[in-house]
Amino acid sequence: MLNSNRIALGLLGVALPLALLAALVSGPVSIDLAAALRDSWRGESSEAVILWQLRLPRALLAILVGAALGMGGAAMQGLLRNPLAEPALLGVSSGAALAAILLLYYGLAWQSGWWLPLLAIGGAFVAVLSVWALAGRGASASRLVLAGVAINAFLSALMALALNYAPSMFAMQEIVFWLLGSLANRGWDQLLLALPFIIAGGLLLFASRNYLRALTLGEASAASLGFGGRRHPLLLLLGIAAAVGAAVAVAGTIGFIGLVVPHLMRPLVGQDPARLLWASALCGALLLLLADIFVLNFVGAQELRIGAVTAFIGAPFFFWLIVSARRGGAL
Amino acid sequence: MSPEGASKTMAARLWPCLVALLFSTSTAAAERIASLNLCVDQLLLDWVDHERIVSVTWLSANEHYRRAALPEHVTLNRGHAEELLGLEPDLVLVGQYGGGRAAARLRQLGVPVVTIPDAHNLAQLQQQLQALAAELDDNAELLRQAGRLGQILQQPRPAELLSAMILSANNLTYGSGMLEHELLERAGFRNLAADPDGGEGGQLQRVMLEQVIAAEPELLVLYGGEQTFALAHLAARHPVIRRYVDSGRVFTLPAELGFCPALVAADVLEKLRQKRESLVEQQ
Amino acid sequence: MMEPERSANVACRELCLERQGQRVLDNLSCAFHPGELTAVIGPNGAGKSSLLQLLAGVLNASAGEVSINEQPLADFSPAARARLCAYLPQSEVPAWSVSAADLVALGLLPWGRLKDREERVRRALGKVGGADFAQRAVTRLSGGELRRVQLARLLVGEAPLLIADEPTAALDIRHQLQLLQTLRGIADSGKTVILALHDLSLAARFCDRVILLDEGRLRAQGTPRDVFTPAMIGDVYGVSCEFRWRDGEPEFVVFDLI
Repeated sequence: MLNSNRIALGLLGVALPLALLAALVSGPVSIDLAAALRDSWRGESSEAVILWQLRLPRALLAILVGAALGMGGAAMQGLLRNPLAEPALLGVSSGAALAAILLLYYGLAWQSGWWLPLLAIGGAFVAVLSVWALAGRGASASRLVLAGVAINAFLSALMALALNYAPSMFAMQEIVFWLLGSLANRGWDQLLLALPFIIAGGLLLFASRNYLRALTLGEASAASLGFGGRRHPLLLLLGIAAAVGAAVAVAGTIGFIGLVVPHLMRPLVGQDPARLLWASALCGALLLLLADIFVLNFVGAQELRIGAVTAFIGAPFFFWLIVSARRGGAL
Repeated sequence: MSPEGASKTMAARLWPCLVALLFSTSTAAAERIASLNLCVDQLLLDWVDHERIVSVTWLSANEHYRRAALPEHVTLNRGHAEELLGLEPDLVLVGQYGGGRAAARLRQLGVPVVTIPDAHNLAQLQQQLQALAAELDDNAELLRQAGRLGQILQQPRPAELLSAMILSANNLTYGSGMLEHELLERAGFRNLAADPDGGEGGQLQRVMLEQVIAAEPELLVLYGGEQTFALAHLAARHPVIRRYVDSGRVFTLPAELGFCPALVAADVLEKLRQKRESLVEQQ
Repeated sequence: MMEPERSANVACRELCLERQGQRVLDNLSCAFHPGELTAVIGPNGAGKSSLLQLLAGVLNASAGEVSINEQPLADFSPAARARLCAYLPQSEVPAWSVSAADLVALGLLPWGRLKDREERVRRALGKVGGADFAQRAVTRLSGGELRRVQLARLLVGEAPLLIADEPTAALDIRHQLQLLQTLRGIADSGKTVILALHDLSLAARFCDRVILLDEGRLRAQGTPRDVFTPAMIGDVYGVSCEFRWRDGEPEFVVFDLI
């Protein structure tokens, strides 16, 4: 790893707390940050409540969700040996989305807001395990992708059906908003719900880092290096399902972070898929936090969904990726 | 034919028309009433003898809007003229928007169709009630409701105003010009989302939770309706709102106020006044 | 912690492999010894790659058994097996453009964290003459350079058994010669080296033993001089040819299809 790359990674690390500060002062209400910080987090003043109960959990959730998506994207690209893979490819997001949609569609009278995220995480696991079962023995990358495409298509059909038979405009709007993703109105409860799953997912991915490294050489070589069998890809997939599923469950489907971030980080970590994991987590966290700061400062309460913002950042990046690949740069 | 004979035959021809005209205006002519509007559905079902209702819209069967079991003989329509023709209604009530095409077709075919205006503020609400009263032939329940509303509106507004803010689904709040705003003002509250200059504060606006917290309203007004968990109600479920719930500084508007204020406006106004009094006592 | 096993005696007994109802390998028994360079040869589809994959433990046999030092391969843990045997498949295209040194270091994965990792990588690259491009991205290496780097990946962990599937494919004659000289040296240092080869002249010249496969069956095994007879080659490959041995160096001339 070159020195300049270390510096770039260091800068990312420094930028994150700065962005966190920026997020804490972003919002329609201007608050005295220092005073609010001095006030304890149980403070009753409206400034303290805004800082500790509204802005801080939202910013931390952006960091957490961004990290999960970045890490999930890096893991998925490593697993499938494909730079175009994104965490949603194997049905994680659509599984979570469908579970949430069914809950919203049937409007079941759950008294607690915990059901939606919990069911969404469950949906992510079910989708990934279906892909896993469909891919069958060996679970080669190409068969996983095929199975993922098939399961995704089926889930999309179910979602279209749910949208079609939405009982009211209200239900339809709920579904659409959910698919766009948002961090608005989230509090500590959502953060605490997602945290254990994202940490567990992160640990699973971290434990799979050498498998990802070995996969650089392909499945046969990885097997000869001691990473044969179905256990390794399964653990990796479960890690992705836990981290990305939890992220989707609390913030809806936020696209492009998982696709773009590994590309940004790959040159900085010398293409090493293991170091890419944590670098992508860092960069994903920063990127989503910046997108949220953008939403808060330039879009405001009108609340352009953050999923739309990340797509606006991500799509042009993709154009650039294609153009640079055309010029002969490595994809 | 003599001129006399001519006039006699004219009179003979006119007579049945005249009788029909008199009959329709003087007595409760409409015995087969159909509605093409959700709100009118609800008002008919609430205030009018069910035997006189032949059809309401399919939305009224939806559990989100249904207030009581629908009488079995009432047909549900989806706003098509042909559905109503077979029922031979002698009065079809439509709203200002929606059902226009069916209403025009029915008018062409000679079915009496009357448009009941929508109500987005108190003045429009009174117009709506008047229009309905004219068609429903001074229905007793309707007159009682209208009278009650008028009576409450004539009561003097409290001098000391408490601050209030509405937080509705999808972070919406109601500014000046909206019915919800007028009800708050009449009940003795100052709507913090309203702009006295009538600038940005008008109509519906989005509001972020932290704006609600920063505004520190003395009463937080939520909009009822969907009891289920929904993203739209995420704001109202946020832990920071619990402070308001715990201290009893929350008032929930009934969902009917959103789609048919005539049903509940008087009730809401009365309850808001009571809420204000209890808040003043607390202080 | 390095592998205590310094040598690998490999034996297969009555190996069978079926793939989608087709018998790819049929009742194959053979042995490989330390210090020997063995070539597995045979026409396309003879089952060379499958045999190598079974030996490396990447595939599991339908029947029969591979054992290393008298111990069945299935009894080894994946990591222990990986420390015994280094395997290079027929085509190994790196998915990410890591540096040559990083690719070589992947060969050390079965040993976990090693303190002298960089030193080992440097030494392995030195053995294949690749010290110059240690820091170059693998996508910027020529075919010959990449093959050498991949060979260094096999050497870096010092597994006693090396298996390479057609390592000379896509290399020019100079690089083919260079690669086999390197492999010859590795075998001479006491390792068991097994290659699949298509070039009979190279096999005859460098290998101690050859194993000739035909349609999944063992046709012949022994020294190149024993196995490479015009009759045998003509029968297996369907070509008429001639072998001459001049000062121990083979001359192989193919005439025509039979």
